[in-house]
Amino acid sequence: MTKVLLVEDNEMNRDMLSRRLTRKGFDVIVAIDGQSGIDLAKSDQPEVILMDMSLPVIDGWEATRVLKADTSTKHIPIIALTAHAMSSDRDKALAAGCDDYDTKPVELPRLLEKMQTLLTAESS
Amino acid sequence: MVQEMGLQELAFKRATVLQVKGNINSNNAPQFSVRMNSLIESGCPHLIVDLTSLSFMTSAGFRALLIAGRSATEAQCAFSLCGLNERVRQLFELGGFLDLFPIHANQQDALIEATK
Amino acid sequence: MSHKNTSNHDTLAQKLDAIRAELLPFAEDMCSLGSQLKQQFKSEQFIDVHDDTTAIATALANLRNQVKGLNLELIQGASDQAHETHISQSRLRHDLRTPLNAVKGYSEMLLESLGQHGESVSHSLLLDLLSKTNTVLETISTSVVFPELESDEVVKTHEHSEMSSVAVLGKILVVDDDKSNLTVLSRLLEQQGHEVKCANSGPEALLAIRSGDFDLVLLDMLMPGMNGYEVLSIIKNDSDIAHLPVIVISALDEMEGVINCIEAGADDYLPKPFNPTLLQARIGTGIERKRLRDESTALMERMETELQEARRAQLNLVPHDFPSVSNAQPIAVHAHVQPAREVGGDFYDFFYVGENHLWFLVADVSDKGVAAGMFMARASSLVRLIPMQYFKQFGRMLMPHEVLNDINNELCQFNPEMAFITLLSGRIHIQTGDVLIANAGHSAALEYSANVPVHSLETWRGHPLGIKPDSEYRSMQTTLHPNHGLFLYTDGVTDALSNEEEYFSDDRLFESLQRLKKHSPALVVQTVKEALRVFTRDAEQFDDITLLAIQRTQHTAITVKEVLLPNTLEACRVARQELIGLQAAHGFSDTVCEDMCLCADEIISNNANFGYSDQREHENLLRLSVDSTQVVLEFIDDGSFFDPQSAPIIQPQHDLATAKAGGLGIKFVRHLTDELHYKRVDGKNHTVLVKHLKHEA
Repeated sequence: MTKVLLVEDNEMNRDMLSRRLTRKGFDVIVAIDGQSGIDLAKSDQPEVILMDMSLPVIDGWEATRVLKADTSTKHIPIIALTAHAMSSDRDKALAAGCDDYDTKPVELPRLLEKMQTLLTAESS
Repeated sequence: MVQEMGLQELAFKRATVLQVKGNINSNNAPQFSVRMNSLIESGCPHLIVDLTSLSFMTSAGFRALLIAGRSATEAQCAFSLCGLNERVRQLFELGGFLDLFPIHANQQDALIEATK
Repeated sequence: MSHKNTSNHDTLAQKLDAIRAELLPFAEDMCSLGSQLKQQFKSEQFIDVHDDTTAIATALANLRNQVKGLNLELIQGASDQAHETHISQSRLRHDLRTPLNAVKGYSEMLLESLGQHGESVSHSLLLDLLSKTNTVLETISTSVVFPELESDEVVKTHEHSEMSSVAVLGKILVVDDDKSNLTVLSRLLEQQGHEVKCANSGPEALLAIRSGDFDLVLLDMLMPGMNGYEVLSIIKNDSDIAHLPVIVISALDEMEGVINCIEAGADDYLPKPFNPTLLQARIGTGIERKRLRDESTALMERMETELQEARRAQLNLVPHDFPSVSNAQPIAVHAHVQPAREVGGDFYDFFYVGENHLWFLVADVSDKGVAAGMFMARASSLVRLIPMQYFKQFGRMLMPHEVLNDINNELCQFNPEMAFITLLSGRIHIQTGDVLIANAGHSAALEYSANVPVHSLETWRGHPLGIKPDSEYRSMQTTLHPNHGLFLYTDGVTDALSNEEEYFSDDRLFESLQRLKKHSPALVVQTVKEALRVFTRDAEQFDDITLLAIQRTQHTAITVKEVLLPNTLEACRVARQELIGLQAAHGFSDTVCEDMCLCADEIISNNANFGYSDQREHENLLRLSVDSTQVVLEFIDDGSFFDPQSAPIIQPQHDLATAKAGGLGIKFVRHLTDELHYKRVDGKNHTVLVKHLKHEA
């Protein structure tokens, strides 16, 4: 099973998305802030990370920069998720080192497709 | 008449045949499972399950077969089935089980294969 | 244009008030929808999803609070800087979209859980909630846009471009391989107040177009690699971006190329060197055109959504629950309606008046579409209400023609458009088989059975309803013998056209009924539907199609036995013994007995293994019945919701240790039974397995 790390501070959205991904056959681990996201990524080595950008303590932008600078985690693809829906977010996410970007509310099929693309690219 | 399950072993040099009679259902599938696994664990080189006299088998029976097939692989015991009548074959086909096990027409064919 | 910095607070406050006023009704509405949903799920006893409906309700309450509380804090946060405004706008969008993310996610998840168990109230509530969520999201992205607060710099640019006072402004992509051309053009456009992005080559342009929301593209024709014509062709052949207006730029001596581009879908062209006035005018027209196009697309989408809602509402006007046959009601009905457009004019109905009279009808409203749909709604309630009310208030069972008289006179009022309805209506005494039928301009009913050829039951045919007040109708009497059936249809059936423009015709209809070996109404409807599908293949459906079949069944020597079962695997053994006993008494074949044993084992073990999360003992009921035509097992259990008709088939091949409800066993059940019915009533699963007894002659 593909292991996914979901970093999301909003409890309901975390519960909802992790369950939906589990239903689709993913092994989901969750973190509620940037720091525990970084810790979990290092210790559990997920195959892909879904990162909410507005997180407490260390936000998603910062966490992404840390993960992409660390040799043990920089190969893990990160998809940024934001609810701001501003056109500049995308560029900002890519600049921070995210591999892809999606808006909330999540369109599950679209998100799965993006995850699949990154996972396939990674394994080949 | 719906018959209760009957299990009978025939020991050959290179293989053991387990003949199944009647039907396998949720209630007796555990017994069927235990019997196959004890034969596999006893170190027989080839286990042939003969289904010639099987009238029907529920999904519980199919699960027992799958589990036995897996233990057999782990114990390096060859595992095959034979004697599927038309109705039982239909159930195998519906479940997509026909290509999961070596299946022979009858006991004799299975034994010939086992002695190769 | 007299914005002053001091007025920025006021502007922002006004904007927030406007946003709140726009969003609050939606939020309130969705909140009440949320609590309705929670109640509904509770009443339908989907126990394991109760938490999710609570989550939805909570998220909706959050949304409402966000909307209500949107004022001071944000204003205090925003300074006069345009940059800060941008941040507030971003944060506001985030706070509003976050609860919507939860609402959307949970709702979609619940929909998945309901599976094909559609048509339920919960199902339509969820769809309603999702469509409202989308509406609010759209509103957020169009309305949560704060006015660009005027900074000195912006004001200056405006002073520069005096002629731009009435300009239509937008976001423009300029594509040219020549750097200096790009600089000249983009500077000119920025001075006119547009937002400009540049691309140096065709591929770069396509990338930008696909990721940005441009209003217009200025495209140079001559570029190395991919030229302007090729870029244009790609844009116009990609439905996602084809709506984007493209203006091609060319030197005057390239007219032939320009013509090619216009033919390929370019909206306009501009000659080099650029004339600022001409540039502005053409660009203004282009952007304006795109705005209109966007608006009409949005309008179309909204109408589409409303039509779909209307369609759902209309389909809910006719019954979809077909009563099962019993000794008390030895009559089976099945029907189907398939509108040609979103909303149709056809309908069917059947209903009991008193204990012994089943009324049935099919009808066809002149014309199709929404107007016909409304006329249909009016007629369909009358046709049900009149016989029911008469019976209830006066204890009198009307004759079908009396009902037609009343409906006709009612519909003749307020009918300036002269819409009309053809209708065939009848009632049958379910014990004696006595039938009365009256006809208002409709095709006659057909009688079918194994013994006699299919024939039509000719009736006195009156005028269609709604045209002539006090028009005359008559009821015709006949008797439906046991195992005989009636087939009613609308002319959409016989007038269905094939790809070769041939009619399906009476002949083909008669033939498909004649060929039937089994005559249960469900099968009759299914067969004719299938024959139509094969005949018309992908030809467009022009007219609404409605089918209804009724059959008297003859049940002889029904034996019914009920046994209580524990919620353990022991129940499988009991069921097997009962079936063996039933076989001994009735002598049906081993095959039937074995198939039923297998199916009972799968359904019951599924309940024992997966139906309960508590450790308590439960008592379930198994009802076995047999007659000369079928063996029926009815299993009633209080385990969790499980519909074998829609449960997913899980291939057990490799991961057998994690067996789940559904799975292989359910596949066996679906295959080995002749009929499989399911309903959830009062928190219990009612699963009915039927095996037909085939009698070799």
